[in-house]
This record gives sequence, structure tokens and C-alpha cells, in this order.
Amino acid sequence: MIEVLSTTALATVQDFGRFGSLGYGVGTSGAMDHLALALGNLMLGNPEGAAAIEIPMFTFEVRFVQDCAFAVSGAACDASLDGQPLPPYWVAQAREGQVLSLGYPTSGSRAYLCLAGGVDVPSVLGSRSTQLRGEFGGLHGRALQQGDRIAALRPGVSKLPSDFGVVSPSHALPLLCDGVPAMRVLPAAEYDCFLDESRAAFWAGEWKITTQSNRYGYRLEGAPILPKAPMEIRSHGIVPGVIQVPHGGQPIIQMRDAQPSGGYPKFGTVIEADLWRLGQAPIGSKVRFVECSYAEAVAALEDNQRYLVQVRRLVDLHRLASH
Amino acid sequence: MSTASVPRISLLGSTALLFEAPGELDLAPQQRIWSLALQASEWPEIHEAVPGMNNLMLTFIQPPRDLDGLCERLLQAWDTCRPLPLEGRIVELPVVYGGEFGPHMQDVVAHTGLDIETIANLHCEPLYPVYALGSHPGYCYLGGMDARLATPRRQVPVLSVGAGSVSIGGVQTGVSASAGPSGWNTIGRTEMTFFDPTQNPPAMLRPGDMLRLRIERIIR
Amino acid sequence: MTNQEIRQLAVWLKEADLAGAHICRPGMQLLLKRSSDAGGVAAAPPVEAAHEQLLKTPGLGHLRLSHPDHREVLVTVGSLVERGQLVAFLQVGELLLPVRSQHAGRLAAVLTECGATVGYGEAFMRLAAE
Repeated sequence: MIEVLSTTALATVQDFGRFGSLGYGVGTSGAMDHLALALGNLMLGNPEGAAAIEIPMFTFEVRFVQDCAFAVSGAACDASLDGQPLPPYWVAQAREGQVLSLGYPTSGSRAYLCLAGGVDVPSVLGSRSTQLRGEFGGLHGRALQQGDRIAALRPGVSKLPSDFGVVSPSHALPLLCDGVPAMRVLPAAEYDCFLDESRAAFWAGEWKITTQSNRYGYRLEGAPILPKAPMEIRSHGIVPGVIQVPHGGQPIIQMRDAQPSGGYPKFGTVIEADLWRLGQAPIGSKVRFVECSYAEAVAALEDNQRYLVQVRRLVDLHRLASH
Repeated sequence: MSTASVPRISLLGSTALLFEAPGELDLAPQQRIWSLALQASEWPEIHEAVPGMNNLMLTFIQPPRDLDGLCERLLQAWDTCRPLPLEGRIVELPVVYGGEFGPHMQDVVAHTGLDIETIANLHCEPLYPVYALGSHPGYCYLGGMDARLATPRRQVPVLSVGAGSVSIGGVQTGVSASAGPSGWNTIGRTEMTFFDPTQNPPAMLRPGDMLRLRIERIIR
Repeated sequence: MTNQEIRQLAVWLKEADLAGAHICRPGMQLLLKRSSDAGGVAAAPPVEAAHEQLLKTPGLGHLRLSHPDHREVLVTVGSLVERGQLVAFLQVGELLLPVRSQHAGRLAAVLTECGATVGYGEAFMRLAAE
């Protein structure tokens, strides 16, 4: 169990997400960087989708009320345990009373604090992810506050080795366009309804992630993306990654806490395999978009899978060689 | 898009596809969408079939290898599917129109050229079928709003409208189930619990139910 | 360790692009080497002077003097190193293993380039006793 000593806004419990309830108007929620979640869990011997704490703003400080193994993954934030620095993407054994402190990241934007066994909160509608709009799931359906106590499913001294790390996925799965982090996008239904020069500008331009960007959506700043004629779209289901363009021409990428349905014109969808890259893109940073096909989007998912399998094998090898 | 003659299928990344029924927005195609959703939800590739306004989103368990085959199957199913009958319950909602509960009533007045009384009466006139749920937990998209009330979605969405807000977005109307941002024009407020995650099903209303709105009060 | 586990280990090592592995346990030593690989051929080991300590690698892999996400090296020449202090990483594929100093002293020299492939028990840093 941990106690939250200090937190800035918006730290929430997330797992891979809540699926199967879109028909009730319940969006998926879930980790903005699902690879970081999977890797943190993997290092702890947890199921890959076990719930963890997603931390988007720093500093974040917790005290271990019990012995517990933990991993910090995602953003390379200045992590230290009782003042001793921890490398990024690292698993460690905490003792009762120790304080873990996460400082402002030097790269990435969201960190994940994974606990041995996973965070122990009730599962609601099949998931432990926090549904902020509906005020359920996660820890009481809200962001973490000072004084909150969060239990781990497998506290105590871990039998599995700790004190090792993994190389961040941004090294293993690099994707840059002219030196700028890039995301692949599949054109959506209204793609052809935008002006030719707007479409060209979308692919060629650098897009700034404005301060009005969060788990609901990322508002981008760049050349206005304008339609050939005004469009009124019927409300329809959407998924995270859908890029909507309201009047005004500044795109909004719907993220994990977005409404599960929308009615603004859609330019394209950031592919599922690249959502984690967006999740780690800091406010104020610039990104590029690369057009891709369905086949390429599917291949990208396979690349991610292959990478996770590779890491899992090496971690298993390390365990084998350690006991 | 709204008056195409054939259905349209498009991709939402590699995660889902979107099927849009042709023709004017109406109840009969929506009943066929419900029927199509029931069928498609049984297919091995499909995780969830999510009806929208005369459209259907199908989320994938894994991205299908044979996407073309799936699309063909979907089009065939649409051609042969029959409308699901309207067998839902009728739920009555008293609404307070205007004043602090209808912050955008004046925008609807300005766009439609109608006065508040007329707007409230026209809005309460139809028996609204629940076409689909979406937007947020328990939120119902309603069909059958009088076309004279149509007002475009707002240029800049509002940060927060309260639970029970009754709004107009384009040709559609709906009632919000919880406080949150909205790009629609809020004209009134009603009281009701639309969603409880501890219940099964968690949403109080489902596609095929009908809402009867009643004027409780008009604040001018 | 069963024959099957050894075979599995060999497959993993190939996938992790390593020349071999050396596993020591009470009552068991296992040394695996890929026959076609010339990687990890050690140079003549440095001579340890009386007032110096050599830090040696704990296994096979690529020795990193800094974390992939950081620019600064973990320890700079001339700084004091405590026993147990993290001084390098051993990278095995995507895995990063900590390399902690077995001795205390002042870092006199770094003997290996960052990213170099190292074998088991290779001297990579020299500490001068304080």
C-alpha cells in the first residue's frame, strides 16, 4: 500500500481501458501510453494490463506504507527512492516507510507507477480505469489527492528480481519525420472534403500540442485545415486517435477520455499503434503526421507486439539466470 | 454525406470501421441499424457494434486480415436486414426551458426566428425515440426533432453544462446525463438518473425506448 | 537447468544478438558460446597496481556509461565512488542491468568505450584507493 504525499493534478488509476460499454456511452479511458503500462507491469511480473497510476504532472510523491515492489515507466522523470536516484524505466523493491519521489521529466510527459500485482481498486464494467465523466472506476472515479491510500494486489518483498530496467520504447521503436516525433494517420471519411492545400499542409506541417491538451483531447496549433464546404455530421461512434476539425480549422485529436461519439468532421485517425507516442508528447512540443494505409497500421501493431514479446523473453531470461 | 444513395463504409484507424446508412436521417433506417448491430456483434472480428445516428461503428477485436470481405458481408447484411420493431418503454421527462437552465436559448431564437414559447412547444411535441447512446455514460441521442428547431453546433464548445441539460446540435436533440463539456445549444434542464454503473445494464434507457418531454416551466 | 531450458536460453541469446552467456550458480556453471561469432574477444587484461582497484563486468552485454535517456555519464573521472554505487549499465538487448561498484575509491580511469561489447569479468573502470 502507498500513501499519496503530494500530487499535482490529474494523476489517475488506469489499466488498458474499459471495453464493451461504448453502447452505454462509456468511453474506453485507459493508459495514454499503453506500452509504458505493459512494460512496467512486465518488469514486476504482473499481467500486462494490470492497473497502475498514470502521472501527467509533477512532482509526485508517495510513501510506501508496506514493503512493495514497484516500477516506474514512461517519461524519464527524476525518480528517487529515499533520495537515492532511480534510473528511468526501472523496477525496485521498496521497504515500508520509504518515499518515492518523481520529478519533472527530461523526456516524455506521462509516468506510470506500477505496483506488484497491480493497483487494487474495484473493477467496474470490466476495468479498473478511471471514468472521470461518469465518476466511477479507478479510485472513486476521480484523480488522486493528497492523503489517498492505494493498495497493491501483491505487497511484501517480491520473490522476483528487481533492480533492473528496460530501454524505453522510443529507442526501440523510433519514428521521426525530419527530426520531429511523428505519428501515422489513416485518412477518415471526410478526408476528401477538405481543401487540397489544407490536406497538403496537414502532412507537411509541424503541429504544436497546445496547453489545452489532456486526456480528453489534444488541441493542435498549425495551418488552418479548411473544408471545401461547411459540413454537419451525424453523431457516430469514435475511438481514441480520431482527428476532428471543428470550425476554425484547428484539429483536435480525441484521446482516451474523449466522448465515445462525435459529430465534427474527421480528417483522419492516428493509428492505435502510435497512440502511445502522442501520450508521451509534451505540451508545447511539435509533432508531424505521416499518412499510412490500413496494412501499414496493422503492421505497426505487430511491431509493437513483437517488441513486447522480445522484452518479455529477456526479462524471463534474466529471472532464470537470477534465481 | 447526409443524402447519399448508397451506404458508406470508412475506417477509424485500424481500430474500427464506420458504416453510414444512406438517405435522410429517419427512424426506419435507425431500426435497421439496430438490427444490423445485433447481427454484426456476433461476428468473430467484432468487439462491439455501436449504433449512432443512422450509422454503426464496429470495433475490432483484432484488425481483420480480410477487411474487404468484412465490408462485403456488412453491405449484404444491410441489404437483407429488417427493421427491429419499436418495443421500448415510454419515459416522461419534465423540462424547465430557458433562463439559467437554457443559456443558449437566445442563440436558437436568433437562428430559427422563433420565440421561446414556440421553441419549447415544438420541442415537446414529438415522442422522441432513443436512437443510440453515446457522448457520455447514459446519454441518449434522440430522433424526430422538429426541423424548424435545427441550430448548428457551437463554434466554441462550452466547458461545462450541467447534468440533465436539454440541448440542440444541428438537427439533433439530446439530454446530458452528467456535467461536462458540450458543443450543443442548451435550452433547458430536466431531472433524472440516466446511468448507474452498479446496475446491469448500467444505462437507464436503451435504443428503442421513447422520451416524452413535458414543459414544466418556461423562463422568459 | 534442464536441456530444454538450455536450448531456450540459446534461442533467446541469438534473438538478443549476444555472443554467449556465462551462468554461475552454486554447484553449476554454464558457458554458452555462439560458434560463428567473434564478438567479445577480450584484450589483455589490465595489470592491477597495489593502490588501485579494478571494477569488473558482471556478465555479457554492451557496457553503457550513461542511461540511454540521459546524456551525462553516471560517474565522471576524478569523482568519489562508494561501494554499491551504480556506475554503469549492462545492456542485454532491451534489458538494462545495473553495474554497481564492488569497491570504494576515486574514479581514475574508464577502460571501456560506452556501448562496447563486454564479456564476463572484464575490467572496465579503475579506482584509486582514497
